[in-house]
Formats: sequence, structure tokens, C-alpha cells
Amino acid sequence: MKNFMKCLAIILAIGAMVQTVGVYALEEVKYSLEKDGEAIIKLIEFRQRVAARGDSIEEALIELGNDFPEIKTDDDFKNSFSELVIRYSNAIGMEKVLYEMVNKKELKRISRDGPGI
Amino acid sequence: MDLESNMQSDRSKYFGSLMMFGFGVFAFYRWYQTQLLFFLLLVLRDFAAGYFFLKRTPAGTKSTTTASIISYISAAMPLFYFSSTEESRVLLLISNLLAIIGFLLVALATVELGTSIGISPAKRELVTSGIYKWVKHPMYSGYVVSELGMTLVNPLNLILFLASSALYYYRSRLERLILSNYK
Repeated sequence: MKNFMKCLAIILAIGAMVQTVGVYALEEVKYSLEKDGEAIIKLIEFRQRVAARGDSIEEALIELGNDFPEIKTDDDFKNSFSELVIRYSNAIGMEKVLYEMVNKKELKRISRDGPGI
Repeated sequence: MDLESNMQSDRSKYFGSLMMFGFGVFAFYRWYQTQLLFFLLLVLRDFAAGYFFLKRTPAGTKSTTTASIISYISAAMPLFYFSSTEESRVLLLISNLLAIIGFLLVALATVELGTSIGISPAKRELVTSGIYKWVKHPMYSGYVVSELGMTLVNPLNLILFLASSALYYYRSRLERLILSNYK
């Protein structure tokens, strides 16, 4: 029984190590700083093109092609863009500054929640 | 103190067992949440420790009350470590790997100790087999390795790490002293 438990502990530890390294390697490929930066630029450029033409985001989403298969609606666009910006900010060590800025009173005014232009 | 009175006074095993089973249930919940195999390793270790506590043999010689209190403080110290403030993914990876290696040592030591398990140093059955053939204090060594990982991802943990390591050293010295005249 003891030998079985010891073997199980070793197997679980090896599995846990493989899993940890695997997740790290996958994220390294999936979430590189360079790739995230390029994706943010692509989304900004897409948004600018659509705004210039006066189209709705939903109609123009097909232009994003295979680069962003997860974006199917305007809400998906917003979610993906926010996630990329936060992850990019985190990667370059400015996550705390970003949150401080978001909570600043002066900047809250541009959120268009209140009355104004 | 004779064996019978020792058996009557060994009520701490119920507390130890309950605590370890509680940790085991929590570790299982964390595994369910995250699907990380590391938590299954904790489940194995905690349930094994819980069972062995319940079945453990009464101690021949126990440490003093002060030594017992120090041992319980030492055992609780890993719970006070601060969470990670580190943004480097490499350091987080190293920290996670150290936690796994550390708890593998702890799990192997727990299984090898069997019913000789205890928090405060006491003379039960002397264990020199398995991992105890290679490492004198695998349980404490395992905790030190995993706590080192926690120190890597938050510099504030360095103070706790030094204090905790000193307490493990104290417990290991005391154990050696109690077990030195083992027959």
C-alpha cells in the first residue's frame, strides 16, 4: 500500500511538472508581447477603417478574417481588445498605472457616462 | 509516563487528523476549480497524513510544551506567506516547480513515516527506510524547498522564509535529540 502511494505521488508530481511547463510553453507562444502588440494595432486600424467608412462594426467583422476567429460581435471585439490591452500593459509592467488612470476622476469624464458633448 | 497514559493523552492525533482531512478537502476543491495536478498531490498527501494521524502509535517520549507550541507555530507558518507580486513568468514557473518538488518530498516522507507521524517532535517508531535513507529530514526539506519558491515571487516572504527555516532547523535538532537514544 505504501509503495502504491509513493508511486502515485511520484506520478502526480511528474504530471504536475509536465502540466506546469506545458502551460508555460503554450502561453509563451500564445501570448507573446510582440504578437499582442501587433494584434492591438490591427484592431485599432480596423476600427479606424470602419469608422472612416461609416460602417457598423458587425457588418465589417468579416475583414478581420482568420486573425481573430473569436470575434463575432461588437461585444466580442470589445472583450478581445480590452483583454489584449490589459495583458500587454501587464507584460510591460504598467498594469498598476493603468488601473490608477482608469480610476482617476479627470479621466472618468471621458467615459461619456455623464452629461456633456 | 507509561504506555496507557500516553495513549490517553494522545488526543492531539484527532486534531491533527481532522486538520489534515480538512486541508485535503480544500485541496480537492482547488483541483476541481483549476484541474491542476499539483492539487491532487496535495490531496494524496493530506488524506494520507489524516489517516496516519488517526492510526498513529503513542509516543514513548514527547517534547516539552514549549517545544510543542514552537512546532505548531512552525507548522502553521506556510499559511502566512504573502501572495505573488512577481510579473516575471519565468520566476513564477520556477516557483511552481519548486512547490511541486517540495511537496513531492513532503508526500514521500508522510507515506514513509506512516503511523509515526506527528507535528511536535516525539519518540515513536524510528523510520530510516525509503526517502529517509537519502535525506535526514525530508519533510522539513520539502517545506523549505516549496517555501523558497514562494520567496522568489514576493521579496516580503524572505523574512517568513528565514524564520520558518530557523524553526525547521530547531525541530530537526530536537527530533535528533529525542531519537538519539532510540532503542
